[in-house]
Amino acid sequence: MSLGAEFAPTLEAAKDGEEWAWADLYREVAGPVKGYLASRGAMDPEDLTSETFLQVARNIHAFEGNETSFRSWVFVIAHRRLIDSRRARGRRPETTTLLEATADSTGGDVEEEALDSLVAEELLRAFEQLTDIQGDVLALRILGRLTLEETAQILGKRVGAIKAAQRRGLMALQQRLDFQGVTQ
Amino acid sequence: MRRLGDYRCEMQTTRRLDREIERLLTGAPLQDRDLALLTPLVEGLRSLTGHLPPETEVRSIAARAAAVVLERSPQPTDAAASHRRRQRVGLTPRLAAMTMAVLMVPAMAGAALAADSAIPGDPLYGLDRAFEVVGIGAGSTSERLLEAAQMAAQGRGNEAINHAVLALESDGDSSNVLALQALESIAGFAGDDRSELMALLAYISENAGRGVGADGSEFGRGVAELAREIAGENGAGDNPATGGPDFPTTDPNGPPAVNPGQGQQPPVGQSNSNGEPGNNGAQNENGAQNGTGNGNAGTTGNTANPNGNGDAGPPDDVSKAPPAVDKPADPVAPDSGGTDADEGNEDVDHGNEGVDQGTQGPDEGNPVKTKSPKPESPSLTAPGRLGASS
Repeated sequence: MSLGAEFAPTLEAAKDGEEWAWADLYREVAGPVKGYLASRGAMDPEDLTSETFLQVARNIHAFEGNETSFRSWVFVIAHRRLIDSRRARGRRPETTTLLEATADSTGGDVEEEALDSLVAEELLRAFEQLTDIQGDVLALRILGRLTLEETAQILGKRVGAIKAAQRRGLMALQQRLDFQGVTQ
Repeated sequence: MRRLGDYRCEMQTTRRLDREIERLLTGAPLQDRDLALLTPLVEGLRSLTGHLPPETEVRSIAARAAAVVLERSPQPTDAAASHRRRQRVGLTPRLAAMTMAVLMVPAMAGAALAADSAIPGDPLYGLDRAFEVVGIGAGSTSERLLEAAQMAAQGRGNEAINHAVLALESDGDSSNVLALQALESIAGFAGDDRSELMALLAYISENAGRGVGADGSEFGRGVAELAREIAGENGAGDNPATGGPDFPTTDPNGPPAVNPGQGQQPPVGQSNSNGEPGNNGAQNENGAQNGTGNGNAGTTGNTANPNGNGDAGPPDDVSKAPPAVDKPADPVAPDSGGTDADEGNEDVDHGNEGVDQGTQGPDEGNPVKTKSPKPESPSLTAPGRLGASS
């Protein structure tokens, strides 16, 4: 999904307070942001997503950039919100809410959904085995579809560290999923 | 004993693996059969979160967001600006001192150039310079903090800190005390930590005055924690990982006058040496690699001021509104440092990448952090089975 050439006029309209523009922007980023927050243990990913988006609205007047920049910026804010929520809870992230967070919006075949849920459950359990940084990196790269550099920027790390984290994270996931036969 | 060729071979394998991982994550065809097994995982996770949100939710959020924008959009009228200017006469002594400090920093740096080309003509900042400096205070605290984040994005680290300090000072919120102490503690260290400082200022901008935490103390602690990362990056803190004595971690409602650990803090006016390339390298365990990283940093085009953090810039800079930026997505952060003990270790493992892999970014393999690494399984330090079939 991408607004493409429509992004610039949509951004301008959003700065003017046009609801349709905000609706378009929200549709673009809400799913990945919510998925990212949920996969990283946010207690209430929906609330956090809307908080993130309202923060975007508060600062939108100062934003200049393209769609990629916008997406990355949204994730910067989402990540900060996530850190806040983790601090507030004072415990490690859990990865059990992604299914709940996505349950409302999934549609289609019931059997397919059930299968998706099973696989997703396995994926989420595998995600739980990752270190925090590995989980953060893979969630941003896979769910947020962010680049190495954007991920490094958001997490305040070097690109080399991001590469190392995703290497090890993927190895760990592969080992676990191989063990469970999920990828066979 | 391992020979150079062994390291080189390992590096080549690692690079090949990294390229394959990029293909995996961007949906390109894979050559590595082991890695290809993870394609369903990536696609599965994306499909879980790729659905459009319910339309009721979209409409609700869009309405709220639009309302937020409309609330904030009215520009200050002449009368309002005049009113604020009158209000500024009653500056607190500390704010006045900080204002003077802001004025003095560029002056002492000997770079009192006439004007920054980015700013002239901006109607909001076209006032007399003295008024401009005070005029930073115009608008809400969050707006000024946002400006500070933008200054940081331009590489004007210490100006950004001063700007943020001014904003928090004038805000008068008691929960800002810890944040102020933390900001002042890094005044001399944050010059080239562009991405980390941006993160810190973004955090402040988003949370100042919102009373994060039950008693509002979470905000100050959050700032202190992020500030420790920056100071740790620059070798300032004794114990950046666990919260050494350099930064306040106590209740923000305590006495604000004490600024613990300030012995290592250079005066604001002397803080402009941080932006020089190679500064980190001198403090880094791995100076050669770091030097490579810093050298490249100047060529990325993302660092607004590769020669420094702007402290030596024109004095006018202090009071000007930075141009609107898209820096949140700034793809390369030359000075973004590893902040995680675990991954700091990983950085070291692959440290040589940064030297031989200049095209892949200046940051690679630049182990700035010296935190004690958390041991990981030895099998994870090698390229491992993911790359076995490639």
